[in-house]
Amino acid sequence: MNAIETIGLTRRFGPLTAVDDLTLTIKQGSIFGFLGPNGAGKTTTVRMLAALIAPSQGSARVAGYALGGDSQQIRRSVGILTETPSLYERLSAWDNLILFGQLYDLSSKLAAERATHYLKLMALWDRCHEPVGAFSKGMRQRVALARALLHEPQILFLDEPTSGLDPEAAFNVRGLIQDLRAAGHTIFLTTHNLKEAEDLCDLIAIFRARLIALDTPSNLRARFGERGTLIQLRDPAATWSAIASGLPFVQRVQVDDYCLTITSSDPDQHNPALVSALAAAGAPIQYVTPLLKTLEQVYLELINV
Amino acid sequence: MNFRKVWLLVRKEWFELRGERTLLVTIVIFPLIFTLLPIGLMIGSTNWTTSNNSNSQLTLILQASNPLLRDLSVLELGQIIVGQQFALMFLILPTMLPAVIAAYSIVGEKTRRTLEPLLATPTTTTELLLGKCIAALMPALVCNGMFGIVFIMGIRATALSPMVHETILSSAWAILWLLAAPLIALTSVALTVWMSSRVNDPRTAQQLASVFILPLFVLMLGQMVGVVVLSPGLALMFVIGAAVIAGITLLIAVRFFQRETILTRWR
Repeated sequence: MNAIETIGLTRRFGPLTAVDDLTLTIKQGSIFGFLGPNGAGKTTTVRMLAALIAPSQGSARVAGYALGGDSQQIRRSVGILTETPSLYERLSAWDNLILFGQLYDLSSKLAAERATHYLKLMALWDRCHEPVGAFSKGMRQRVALARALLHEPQILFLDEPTSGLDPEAAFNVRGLIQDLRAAGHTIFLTTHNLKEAEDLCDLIAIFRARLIALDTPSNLRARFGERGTLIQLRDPAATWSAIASGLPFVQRVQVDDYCLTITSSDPDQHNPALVSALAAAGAPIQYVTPLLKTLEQVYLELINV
Repeated sequence: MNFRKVWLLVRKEWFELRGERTLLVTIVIFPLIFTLLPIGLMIGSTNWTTSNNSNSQLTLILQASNPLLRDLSVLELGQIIVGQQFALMFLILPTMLPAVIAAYSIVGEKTRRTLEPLLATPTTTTELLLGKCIAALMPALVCNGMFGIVFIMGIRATALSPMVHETILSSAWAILWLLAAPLIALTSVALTVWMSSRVNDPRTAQQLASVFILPLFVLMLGQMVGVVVLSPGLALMFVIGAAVIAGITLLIAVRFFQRETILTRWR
């Protein structure tokens, strides 16, 4: 089942097209990474999908409900963590959660039970009756995350969920996101932390007003990156570079002290022949390591096209 | 409509307001001044010199508009002029103060960026607007009511004759104070909240909404200069008109409140 389906989703603000012809499908129970520079239209996309603003053109189904048809049902089915925690700072963490729990149609009893559960999960239980204004940025972020989870929505829109968190808290939040996926929730993750996206996401979209690329993290790295092989030798590498350069499938050879970095179009296919040729010529090979581009490198190349 | 949600929003607004001391002082200080000042002036009126006031234009107008006042002394007429001017304030204040709170509640949400999570909940525009309107109206109306009672007691205690306080605190004034002012206040608040979603600066919304005070001004000014004789019947007609306008404004506010403009346009 698909959690989100969009067809040609477009949003214009006067002459500016913030989101142009976005078509994508996100499966239920997956983590979807939505990557793009500031001002790319990511927030506008999330706002459209959360039924906060209407699209100028195109259509979408969110949690099975048509966008523009039943906004209230969509709002009940999604949770949203905005870029800033956006909490009522004079209210305590407890009061913030109870307020939003009830606004999401939970009974007082259920709101209290869920608030207790999530405040404990976020390690905020001991300070839950203090005003949120006195909390650190990381603590506020955790309260905001608890608020987004409170009504246990089918789809969660998370905008930079680990921003401002210390490494331990960020680790815990990443663990929580994976647990939520395991429990069948769909996570729409907007982040600038590309390592986080690479580690967490099942599917990644690179976006700047238009969809630039959409694939799994490994496919993105494979599709858009030159792929290389690092060969570490016991002798200076320059002695053996001519052997590698002479092979027909080798595109480039880079020499760096005791290492050869060799680029070819298909290392999976070519590396056995490469290693055999070097070994046959007597090259003292110590290690052979595949070199894949990181998602960050792919992202930067695609965004700067 | 879910009244539980409306009440939740009202309580939230009040909790937030509790920390805004300047705003709270503003809500209390004006009714306080407009209550104590006329009582002080009424008490001090026994020491007024009458020589310069005996032929004043206002006393002549007063006597012309109400034959029953012809037998009153200049001091009594002076008290009526002072009392009526300040009584007018109790019709205007509940209209002005909630607009300040309403504009603040919207701008406060925007500057603290709390509006987006609120709009993301399955709360309808009607519930949201009603919550904000009631939260803005109630403190000002309660305050105006309490100080209004003190004003009434003070005027009754300090009036030189029963005719003085009966003229100041006429049944027409009471009808306008109890019924018309809250209705116009509701109109003003609904308009402020609605306009806040359509203009870039919420202060503009507040100023635009405050034009609704004008009919009250005109009515009371008309009475003071003798153009309008404010009878209970006329006051009731005014109340009916105010109720119709309040209802229409609320409907318009709910129909045309732009949830998304408030998210995307304000910077």
